[in-house]
Amino acid sequence: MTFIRRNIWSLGTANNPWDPISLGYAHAVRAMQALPLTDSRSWTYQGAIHGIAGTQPPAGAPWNECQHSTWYFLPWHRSYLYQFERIVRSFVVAAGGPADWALPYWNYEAQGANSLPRVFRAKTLPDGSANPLFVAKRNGGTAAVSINNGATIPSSVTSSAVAAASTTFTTPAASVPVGFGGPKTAFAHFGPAPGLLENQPHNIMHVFVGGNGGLMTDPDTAALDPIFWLHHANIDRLWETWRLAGRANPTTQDWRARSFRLRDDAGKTVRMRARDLVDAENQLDYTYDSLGHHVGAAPAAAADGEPLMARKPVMVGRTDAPTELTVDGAEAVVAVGPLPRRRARGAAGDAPTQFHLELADIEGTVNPGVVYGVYVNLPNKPTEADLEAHRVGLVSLFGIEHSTSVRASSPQRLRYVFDITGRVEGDGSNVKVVLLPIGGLGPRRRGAAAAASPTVRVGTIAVHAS
Amino acid sequence: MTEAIDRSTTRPGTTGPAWRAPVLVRWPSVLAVAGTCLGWAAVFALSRDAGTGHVHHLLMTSSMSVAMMSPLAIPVCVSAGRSSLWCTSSRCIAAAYGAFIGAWIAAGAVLHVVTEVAVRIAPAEAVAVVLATWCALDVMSRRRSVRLSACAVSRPLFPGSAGVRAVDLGAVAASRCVSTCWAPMALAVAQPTLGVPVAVVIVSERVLAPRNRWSIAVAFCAMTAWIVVANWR
Repeated sequence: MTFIRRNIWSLGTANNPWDPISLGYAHAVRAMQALPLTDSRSWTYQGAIHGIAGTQPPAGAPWNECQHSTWYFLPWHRSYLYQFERIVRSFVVAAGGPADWALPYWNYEAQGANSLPRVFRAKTLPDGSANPLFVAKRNGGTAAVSINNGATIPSSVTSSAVAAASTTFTTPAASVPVGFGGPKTAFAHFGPAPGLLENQPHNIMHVFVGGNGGLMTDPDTAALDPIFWLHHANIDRLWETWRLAGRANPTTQDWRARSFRLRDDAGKTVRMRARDLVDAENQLDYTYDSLGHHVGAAPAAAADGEPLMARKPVMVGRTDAPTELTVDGAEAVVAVGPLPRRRARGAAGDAPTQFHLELADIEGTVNPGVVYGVYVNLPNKPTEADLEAHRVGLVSLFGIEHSTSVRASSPQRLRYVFDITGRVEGDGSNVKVVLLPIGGLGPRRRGAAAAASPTVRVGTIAVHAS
Repeated sequence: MTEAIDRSTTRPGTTGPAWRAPVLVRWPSVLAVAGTCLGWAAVFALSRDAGTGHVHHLLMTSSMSVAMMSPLAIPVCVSAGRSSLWCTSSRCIAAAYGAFIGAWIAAGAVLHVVTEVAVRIAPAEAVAVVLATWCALDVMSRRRSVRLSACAVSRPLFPGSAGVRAVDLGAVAASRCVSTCWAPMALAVAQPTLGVPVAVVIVSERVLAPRNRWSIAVAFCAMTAWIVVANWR
């Protein structure tokens, strides 16, 4: 039997959003929340598999094992969702719900779906009891303009276009450009840099939905918000879409043989290998009702070993001091020094032809709950058109709690890379880099409140040429 | 179905003409590779010499530190190279490598002294057995994989103070490396004939870990067995 994961926005109606799938999920969540942390089927235990702070795991418990900023991000989360879905289904069926229940997904990119699904905003179930899918700790709380009141999310936040255009799954860990699925690393709770799909929409949506202090903003609480699972089902769907568009997952044993430790619906430890997780329908018996607009599109370039950059990148400019990033943003100027030349002159000339902006060595103890747009050479007093034209990407600082020794025994500072080819004028030019908050929801902190909020330090803002 | 080509992984900068740039900018690991070769050449040259004085022992230990630990400096060199402006990269890589190896030479000297004291209390073979057993047990501990992850260090190398910060990068990486690999190094110091196998095992551990920690532990157990059998008579 193939289970079909359906678009949450296609379920129910405007007048009655509660269909059997959503209602079954709500009842299952309630039942799981009633179980103690020691029960592997409980809501808190399932959340702890992703991450939990300040609690020592019981012997053998696979807690704090989520994979971020590594090439295991996609297969680990697929295995995690798969086992979670089986647990929820067991509760749904036990309560008399549909036997073919499957986890719905939230396709926030679709027209009319760029706001929190209605069943996650309702405070009560049809029977008048409290709705376990409603979480107050989301962006803006219950303010008039908030995620919980149906605020729309900008398309710049929900877009997966940059990731979808990528033809390469992975790159070496220290590489300046990153691939679709993340850098090649060892098994790592937090690795050196997020892959393209992980950064956007995954990380961006986490923080945009969670906001300041929200569950979704912190990896150690994210899986406690029921919308987490629908968000990740969509990320999983985008990976499947990417694969079906003709792109290749890793075929090396380092990736394929990696096993992930989880608990099944009977509470038993199970191990799932990455190689058994690459084809959702044929290996795992589930699929999606829609595999997105990228299916069938020809790969933008041959995936057959084509390098992301023609030449090894070298750093040609960097800031000479750390940059403080507050809730209001930050600004820095990178002076581009002399550019290297190639040994042989080709048709394209001997100067670098590609440029990348790197924000690295980013550390902080608390996520400010803000999604920042990254702009290059933005004019003073920019218009909306200027913001659109000069934006090279977004950062959300998801996982920054693990960048210092406060929360992590081996801290990993955050790192992001953006393509800025065509925006660097050459030797001796200055690149102005501006970070500004995107589409703030709820009350914005200003003045003293903003100054008092925890700041984030960006150690490196650099330009690389290749 | 055959999967002859891994189409998913591409290494940037593998096509097109090379940069007109110093060799260290193009290949940051060259210095570490050269250090490894020179270190082993010195170890073999010194082992032919029948010297027994403290100076000879310290020279041997220093050469062994350079030979064994230079491969572990490759990530440090790469990190220094990619965190610095290309026109200062050579200096930063050299500074980071120098600090890393310098710290290991100092650590090797301390381990040499400690081992000298230990072999006055117990036979050298017994000290080596204890160290090899410790290495095997340590490889299997969860804390070791955390320490191995922490060996990957990055630091912003600001243009005005890139050299000093590169030294700091090398020293911090070395301090974490020493806390992870002091026991194998002490084993090689106590039993110099095990220098080559220990070096192979600790480099293999970095490449394979944490997936194949059993094979690393078995290798240390084999060394323990070899010491016992070789000295049984």
